[in-house]
Amino acid sequence: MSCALGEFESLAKKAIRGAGYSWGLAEDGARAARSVASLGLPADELLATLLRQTDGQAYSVLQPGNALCCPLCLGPSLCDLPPTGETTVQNVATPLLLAPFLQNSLTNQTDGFHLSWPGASLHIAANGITATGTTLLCDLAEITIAPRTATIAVPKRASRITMDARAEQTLLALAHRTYAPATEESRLAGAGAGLSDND
Amino acid sequence: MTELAPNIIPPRHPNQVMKLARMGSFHQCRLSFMRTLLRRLKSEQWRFEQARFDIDAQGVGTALYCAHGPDRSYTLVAFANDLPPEKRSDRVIATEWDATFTLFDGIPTDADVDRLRANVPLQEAGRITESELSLSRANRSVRLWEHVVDRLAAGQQPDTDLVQSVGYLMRTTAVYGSAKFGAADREVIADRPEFSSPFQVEMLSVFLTRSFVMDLVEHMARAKSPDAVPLNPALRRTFGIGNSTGLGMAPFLLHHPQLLNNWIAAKEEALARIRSLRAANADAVATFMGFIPRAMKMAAIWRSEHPLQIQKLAALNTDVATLQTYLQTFDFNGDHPWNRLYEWAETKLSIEGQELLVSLMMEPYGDLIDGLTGCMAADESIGHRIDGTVSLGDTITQLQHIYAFAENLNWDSPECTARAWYVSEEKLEPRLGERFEEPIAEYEQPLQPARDAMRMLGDIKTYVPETPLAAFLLQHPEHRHTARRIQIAARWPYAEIRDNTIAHDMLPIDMLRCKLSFFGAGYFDPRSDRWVRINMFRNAPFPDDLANEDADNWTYPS
Repeated sequence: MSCALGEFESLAKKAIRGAGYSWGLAEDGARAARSVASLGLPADELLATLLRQTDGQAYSVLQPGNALCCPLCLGPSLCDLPPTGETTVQNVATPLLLAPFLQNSLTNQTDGFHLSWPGASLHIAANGITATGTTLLCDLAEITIAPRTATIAVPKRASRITMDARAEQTLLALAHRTYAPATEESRLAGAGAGLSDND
Repeated sequence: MTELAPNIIPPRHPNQVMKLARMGSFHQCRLSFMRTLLRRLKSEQWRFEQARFDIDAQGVGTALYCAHGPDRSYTLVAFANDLPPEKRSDRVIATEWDATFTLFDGIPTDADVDRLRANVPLQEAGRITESELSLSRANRSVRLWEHVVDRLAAGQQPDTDLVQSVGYLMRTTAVYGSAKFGAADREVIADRPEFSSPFQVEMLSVFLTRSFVMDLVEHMARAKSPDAVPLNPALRRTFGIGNSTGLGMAPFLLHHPQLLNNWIAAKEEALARIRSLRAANADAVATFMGFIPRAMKMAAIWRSEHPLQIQKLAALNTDVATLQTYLQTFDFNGDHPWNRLYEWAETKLSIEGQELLVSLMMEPYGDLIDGLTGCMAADESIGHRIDGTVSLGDTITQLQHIYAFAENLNWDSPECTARAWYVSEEKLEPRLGERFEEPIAEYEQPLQPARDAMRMLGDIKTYVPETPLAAFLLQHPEHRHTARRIQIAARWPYAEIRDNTIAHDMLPIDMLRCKLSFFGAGYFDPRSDRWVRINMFRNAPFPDDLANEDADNWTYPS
């Protein structure tokens, strides 16, 4: 299904929250997923792959130093306090999702980062991201982040994402956990039926 | 041109403005989005045409209304339906409507129209594409529709009092825009001048919908009788488009703090500019005074059945009479007349009356304030990043500045946290429940910034003040949403509602009215504490009138 990026971001936010992340992390993660989608890359599949692995796991075991380091946990801390020297992190799941966090951390137009892992290389500048390599969509990698001074020629951005059916199903199922089951009381009171609306 | 000097009167403080009671008393003004739209349509000489009106005697069919601007055209694609009365509901749980619409980006081909006919009438259950900018639906007013059709068919005009008491023939029950159900993202169209102000797509869609509805009612009368007459043009003008707005819209203000800031900041800057004027010239005074009887008429014809609004309207009617009396002897020649008038109002009028005066004072000063509409959109990506280098000590200072009111509330009392915002499984719409009576707390949405700020403050205080925020958030990801809000509200002063949004006596209609006043809506009629009826474009020129008429002198009855 073809989705507007805003629609995808909204689904991603709910799915991340449904997988057990805080609302703040879900907001950041969904923005990152949207940003990857705007590069024309399958952010839906990446996010679904990631959340299938991290679903229900405690935040503390998704940090660097564990068997799986989640980019939705590492990314926000990199964005809050950007690395100033070369940094290596092992076992980063779906590392492509880290790139937007690094981009969002840039407050100076000429600053930038080089993000790489075996078989993939990303140049990240305030005005865009270029991604090359054969392992961009890999599930797990040791990543290296190096600050760089650069601007890049911005490639044309995608405004839609065609959702993979299986990924969409995963995201919808996780998002569904954020909805409260309807009761007759909520149907009437929750939406505030009040006076007749058919007059 | 009015001379623009530095304001000596500062904008009102967020602690005064961002209270739900005041936000729930806002009125439309020059900066409202409907007015922005009509000023543009006129100044750019937009052209309009009914490109198709293929509707049968039962009222079923398709119509196309095109708006041609200097660079682009847009088309309202309307599908009319013969809806059995028992299926008519404004609630979001409805599945069929009297008419459904989309605003198409350009001129649709027949194939486009066929595709849309298979989807638009289904609304949420259908899909639209990047060629479509909005999705909406409308239901007939049972009170008025049959009456108008029958009267026109009989060669007579409808009853003026009945028309005035209802105010519309159809009311929209949802107007979806950016990225909804497959529609184009705002990002795709944000660089077009005609959509640089917020909600211009939605307002254009409703403006064209009004034309369609008026054409449809006259068509139905003709289908009924060969002797049918059209509506008297003066009476025709008094019809707006109704709208039922429910809880779904309330969280918008909390989800878009920067946008909220920009709306309020523009209005408060406008007010500060006017209050700062050392003198009022005779033209401005005459214009303002001309609006007073019109405002009285507006207050007099405004109807509501809701006890709270009835009370507010009684106060408003008293207020406008008090204002009129006061103005008979008011000295406009003295120093800073508008500021003196405003300060008087703060001591003598209800909040509803004060806010009406704020809107009225803007009327003479288009050249001074209309340009502020260019500041009302928001690039929300700017405020998203959290600066993790800020110390917890500084964060506490920011937090206590913004949420000072919350520190005085007893958050352990059930009244303070009585409500919880959640999204229902059934319709995926925001709802408000009773936290201590329903199993909803675990589904709570992040729509209670004051309570969450107090929770964060409690946790921050266990750290040394020099700790960077980033280190705290690494330990407390549950406060990440609040940390972002604090930094946004510290930078954009009107970004946060400075009230408790989960209190037992909180009125969601206050949030709805704030947003709808910026749309340009009037005649707010709450139907409960959670949904409100309004009227849009009442007394406004129709598209074909714009070329020869003032586009901006219609929001108060004449």
